[in-house]
Amino acid sequence: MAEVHVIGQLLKAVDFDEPHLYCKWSLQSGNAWRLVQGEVQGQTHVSSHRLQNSSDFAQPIDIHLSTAALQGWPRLLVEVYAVNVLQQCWPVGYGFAHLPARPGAHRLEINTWRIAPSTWWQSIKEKFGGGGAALHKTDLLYSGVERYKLQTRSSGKIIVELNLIFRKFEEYGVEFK
Amino acid sequence: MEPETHSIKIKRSKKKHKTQTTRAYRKSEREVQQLLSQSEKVAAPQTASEDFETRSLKFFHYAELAESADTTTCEKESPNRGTSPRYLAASFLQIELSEPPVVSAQLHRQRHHYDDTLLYEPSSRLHLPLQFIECEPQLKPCQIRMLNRYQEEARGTQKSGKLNAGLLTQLTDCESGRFIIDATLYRSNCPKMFKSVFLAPVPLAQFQGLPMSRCLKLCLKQLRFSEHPQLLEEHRLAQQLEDLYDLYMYNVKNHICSKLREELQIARNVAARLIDASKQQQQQQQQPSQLAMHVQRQLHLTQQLRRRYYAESTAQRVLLQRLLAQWAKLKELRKRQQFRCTRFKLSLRLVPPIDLDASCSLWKQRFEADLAEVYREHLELYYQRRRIWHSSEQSSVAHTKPPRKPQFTEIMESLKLEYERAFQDPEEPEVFVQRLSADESAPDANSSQHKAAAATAASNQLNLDRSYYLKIYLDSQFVAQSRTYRLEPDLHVDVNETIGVLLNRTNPEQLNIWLYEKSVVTSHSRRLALINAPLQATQRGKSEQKLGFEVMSSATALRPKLAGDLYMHIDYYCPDGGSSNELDEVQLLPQALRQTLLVAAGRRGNARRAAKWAAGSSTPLIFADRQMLLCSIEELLQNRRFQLLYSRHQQRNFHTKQLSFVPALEHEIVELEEHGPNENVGQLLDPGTVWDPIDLHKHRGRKYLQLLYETIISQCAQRAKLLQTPLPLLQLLGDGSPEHATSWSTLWRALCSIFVGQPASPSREPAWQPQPTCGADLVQQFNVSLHVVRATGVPVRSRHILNVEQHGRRRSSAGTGNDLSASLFVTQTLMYSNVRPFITLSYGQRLCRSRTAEGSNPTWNEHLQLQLTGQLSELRDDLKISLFDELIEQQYTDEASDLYQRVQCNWLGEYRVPISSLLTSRKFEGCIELCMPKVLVGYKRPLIDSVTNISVEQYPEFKESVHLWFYLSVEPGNQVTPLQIGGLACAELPELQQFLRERRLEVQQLLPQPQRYVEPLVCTSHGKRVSLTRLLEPVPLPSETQLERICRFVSLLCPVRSTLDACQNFQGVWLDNQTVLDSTWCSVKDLGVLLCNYMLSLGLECWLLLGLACPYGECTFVTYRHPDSGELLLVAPTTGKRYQPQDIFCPLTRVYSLVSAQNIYINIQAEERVSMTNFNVQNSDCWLPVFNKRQEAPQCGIQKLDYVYKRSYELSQLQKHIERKIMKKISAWRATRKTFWNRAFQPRLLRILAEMENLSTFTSNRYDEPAFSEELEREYPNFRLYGFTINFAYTNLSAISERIRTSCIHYNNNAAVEFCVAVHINAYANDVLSVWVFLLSIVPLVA
Repeated sequence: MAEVHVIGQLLKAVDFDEPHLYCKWSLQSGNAWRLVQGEVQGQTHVSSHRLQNSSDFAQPIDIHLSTAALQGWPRLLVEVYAVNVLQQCWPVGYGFAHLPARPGAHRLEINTWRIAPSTWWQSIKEKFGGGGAALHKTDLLYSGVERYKLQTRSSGKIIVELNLIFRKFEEYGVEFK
Repeated sequence: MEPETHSIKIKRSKKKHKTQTTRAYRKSEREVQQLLSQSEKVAAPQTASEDFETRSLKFFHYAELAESADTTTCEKESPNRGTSPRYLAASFLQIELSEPPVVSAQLHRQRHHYDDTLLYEPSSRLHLPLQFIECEPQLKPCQIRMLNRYQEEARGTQKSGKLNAGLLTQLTDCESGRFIIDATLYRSNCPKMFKSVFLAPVPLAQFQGLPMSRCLKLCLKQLRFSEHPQLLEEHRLAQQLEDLYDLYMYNVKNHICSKLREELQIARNVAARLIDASKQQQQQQQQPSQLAMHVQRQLHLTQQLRRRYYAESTAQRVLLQRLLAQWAKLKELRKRQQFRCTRFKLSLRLVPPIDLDASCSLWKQRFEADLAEVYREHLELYYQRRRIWHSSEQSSVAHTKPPRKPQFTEIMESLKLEYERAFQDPEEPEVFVQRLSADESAPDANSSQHKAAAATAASNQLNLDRSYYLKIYLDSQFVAQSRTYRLEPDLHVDVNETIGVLLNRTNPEQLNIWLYEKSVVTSHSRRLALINAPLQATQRGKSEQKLGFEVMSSATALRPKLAGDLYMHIDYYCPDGGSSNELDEVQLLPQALRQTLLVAAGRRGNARRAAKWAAGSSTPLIFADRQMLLCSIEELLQNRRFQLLYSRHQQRNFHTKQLSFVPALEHEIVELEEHGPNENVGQLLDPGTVWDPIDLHKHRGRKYLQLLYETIISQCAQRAKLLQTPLPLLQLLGDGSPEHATSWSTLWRALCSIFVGQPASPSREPAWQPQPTCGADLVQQFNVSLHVVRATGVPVRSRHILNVEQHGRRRSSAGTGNDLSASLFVTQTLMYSNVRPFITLSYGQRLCRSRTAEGSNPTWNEHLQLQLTGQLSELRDDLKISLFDELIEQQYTDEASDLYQRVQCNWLGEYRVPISSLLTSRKFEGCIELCMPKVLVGYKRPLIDSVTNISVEQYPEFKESVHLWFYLSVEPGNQVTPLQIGGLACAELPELQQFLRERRLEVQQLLPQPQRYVEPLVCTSHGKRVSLTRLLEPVPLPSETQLERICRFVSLLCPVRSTLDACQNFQGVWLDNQTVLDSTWCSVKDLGVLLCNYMLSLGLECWLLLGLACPYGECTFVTYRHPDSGELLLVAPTTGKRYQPQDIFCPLTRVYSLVSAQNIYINIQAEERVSMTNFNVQNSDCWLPVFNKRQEAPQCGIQKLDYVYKRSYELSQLQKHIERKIMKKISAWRATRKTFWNRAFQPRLLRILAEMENLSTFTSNRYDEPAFSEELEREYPNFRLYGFTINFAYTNLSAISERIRTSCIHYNNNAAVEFCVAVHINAYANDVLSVWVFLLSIVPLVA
């Protein structure tokens, strides 16, 4: 039984236009992966920074996975939402990153994108009132099949700090250098 | 010499860092070089001798000197560290300290490796000498590396260290190396064997890796019902037509006939050519050669082709005819029923032959050609037969007819017939059939008025509000669901939906499609049918499939018979570009190639792997996770560690929930498991927190009963209070007499009452507060006093204990003289009175004891007092009167002056009085029977014969049990406020209530004591009052049917000890059998009811006796008539013991009344003693029936008659728990000494215990079973044994430890003492458990 410990935190979101942000995250893996312990999904608090263009989340992540295959290597999906004064929220960033296939400490920068406003009117609306289109199916986040239909704008970055510990992969001939 | 030094100088000037050689080295080197040059002079005179030394240096330093520039950075590395055993030759060099030492970069790089022998590092220099290195100098670096690698491997595995010659040639071959992608090769130490995969060699740029995903496109076309509740004749016809049409069109499109005809024509031409050729040959040479054979074969072929052609053509024609006939039928049907609900429509086009003559002549020509051929065949056959006939004629005598010559006309006729069947007539017009598409046929429906009407009629007939959808599963994985489609009038469902599935992980084997019918009314949909088909993943491209399904009708589910077909296309393709046209281009690496490529790896277990390969090759597709898994998922799921971690994460399992550490390695977990094979890993942690299911059951039962009692008490109090509060006038009047309530005077009086000041509105029901009984929470002092008079039948010590005592006595009385033993009387007394019993009275931790008396019939006549302090509600334990034997053991040292005595108290028996019943009834007096252990090792019953010669009958005190005369009282008593059940609702008729009220007044005058009257209306567990007689009715028995076992079963139900004892007396709550058996707790009186009911269902004549008994106060007994002897017997339900009514030792002290299902008899005798009471209920002087003929007793209705007993839980765990608890407790109590546990005795004790349950159930109440104790003593003569069995119903573990503690077996100061405990549990139904504990203390007599 090869095991992976993912320990770390969802540090912050930077370079987003909107000030008040929160982030939904989930860790996804293939069929041969089993969760041993920990929460594989979650949502951070709403956060904003007074001076900088960044929102600190510091959301702890502590997951223990075990696997029978390398297929379906786990990936971290993030969805960043903005909140306005009226407590309305809309997505401002989608992105994902595979866990690094190398033990040790890592700092991941997940670049995110958002759905571009399709009409002129909508873009005006977004500029002033907020709001935006959301993905109907979240599997668009990681699957490349239907992505070509989307028109997106690049958005900010999510910074994740992860420490990875791999166990017993060497029993199956997988060596990490 | 000159050039050498010169060259060195040059070198030195070139490079700063230069190895210095010593003089001695140089000298020896020179000699060697000279020798070399002499030997080589002949062979290679052109050898450049100028750089011998550099070469030698190079040899020793192995590396390019150019690299030495890097070494400056590594100077600080100590040279010792850098030297590796591989380069030992370098130790020849004496390194001068003035110059910085040369440290090679390679050496430096290797310092991390811990083992040089296992290390392999690819280098571009060939390590092994190749013989043909000159002829092929241009080996590629990768080849060299490969060779080096195999060389190393061979060195490692084989002793010779030589490489296979075949492998060498293969590797040095220019073409090899094509398979290698990576420039560096790695070899790991992993034990896992991966399956190798063969990929066809492609240029590296085009290589895409393994094709891992695949797209499956399912195109659902339409669904057609061939069997449906709304199927009409027209549908059937139309569907048949459709199928026929499809078949026909398939034939036509494939041009089968024309193809066959062409083939036939070719065959004919060939035959004709061959015949020509053979004729020519025959003319030239006489011999019939091979050509004739060819001709023969060709002619035969022609014949077969012709027949086939005829057959096909006939079939097609027949098909067309059927098609047309069906179409005609369908048309007629449509016309007849005046509407149409199917769309099928054919258009016919008749093309008459353009030129009739031409077609006729063509037909004729063909016919003649065929005819000629047929005729020739017939003729040939004829000739052949004739030849055979001739030969047979010559050989045999028998005359047979010669074969007839074929008739040309006949043949022609038959051929014509065939022609007619197979081909159309020359005059006949050619028929072209075409199916009209739906759009063209649709407008037909509303063309005219009456047709529209017909359509509505049709839709009336067909309720077409049905819609269907499909759910698609690949294997069992849900994939997609189609939209909902309406059923068309022609029973088609046009779906036309395409579903693409990207297969990423596994290759589905089966396609399952469920057909659902959507309900019009509700949102539910009904699953109708399963359509499944196997999927072949290997085939590529589209395949059209028609999947049939069929569902039998079933009457239960109201499902009609259904059948139909689903038309669909299945298409597989590669999602990424589709560069290759074969889907499964991935193959396993062929065995041969594998052997040549991976020689060393394939050495071990070749055969085994080959078998595996053969098995694996059946599914060549490398596609799924399965093929490239590290290990199978099952293996992962079966991993102990994973299971443990996962169940801890789930937080469901109680054992693993609290697990704080899980071992990191699997084998550690295994070790944990080996500790206790039956236990889970988690249980090692804290067995105390784990609830045994039995414990849980008992606990919940008690809680339930307490809750029930509390609820009923509160209800009673509430009702009573309600009754007490003066009812307001208006309501009283309104309730009491409605005719008055409406009158004016009442209204006036009500108004008056308002003005007077009484509240007219009915007061709200007072919210009930739990009212503690007065003084229950006050700390009170109780004075328990016990006057113990005397006892009889106390067991005497058996041999071993006696020995010790006598031994001691002898020594102690040595001074006074030993004449005592001479007297017979004294020995008898000694024998008989060796026991020194005393009595203790204890409650909780408090204890007081009497003085010791001598002998087995001791008299104490002593007053014991015990002070108890506490709240009334906390007093719920038992008051214990225990009988001990004081054993004084003399211990002597060498000096006679030092004399020690060791006093040991051996527990012999006890009597328990529930403190609540004592508080209620204030005092108990008289004679009680002590509860003695069934086996008492070290003691035996006193035998009367050994003392006197008076017969047993005349010596009444020698009974088989121990009796104690005592007087027990408590100050102050606690007057329990009886439950005021009068306010509760009554389930009986008002007449009956009235009757009972009157009867009570009558009866109470006749009674000598007023308390003998027990209110016949009692409260049940439902909180209603019913007549007492209703409680008695036959209830289902537990699995036992013997009376003794049933008595035992009932006695093992635990009487609840609580402060809520108001519920436990006659005015309290009477439980029904379900409550008692489910909770296994009850009050004492419920035991009697249950036992009486059991006896009723056994068919015995029995009564429930209400009265007073010694340790319980108000309780019930059961009297029954013995079926054989006819005598009456009393049964105490709490112990299961039977007494004769005359028995003076019966614990029953007062008899109030007898209850049967038919009546209640109240005791009106003046006699109070039970033994003198007349139990004949027919005697009206003694017994007064409550009910009479005018008012019969109501019966039945309370007990649950279909009660089902549950099986008890697993006991082994509990047994272990009890054992461990006892051991732990005794070890803890013996705090100052170490406790040794003897295991040798345990199996023997267990064997004894196993028989105990039967013995105690069936034999009389004799306490000592001498056989067992004597057997034990006989078998271990060198030990002084003392032990006993305890038996009780299981309630919880702490009760057990309390019982063990009162036996005081742990107060044994002997240093050599060992203990042994054995636990045996007998289970009855419903977790009614009888626990047998055997405790034994063992002291070796000889040290």
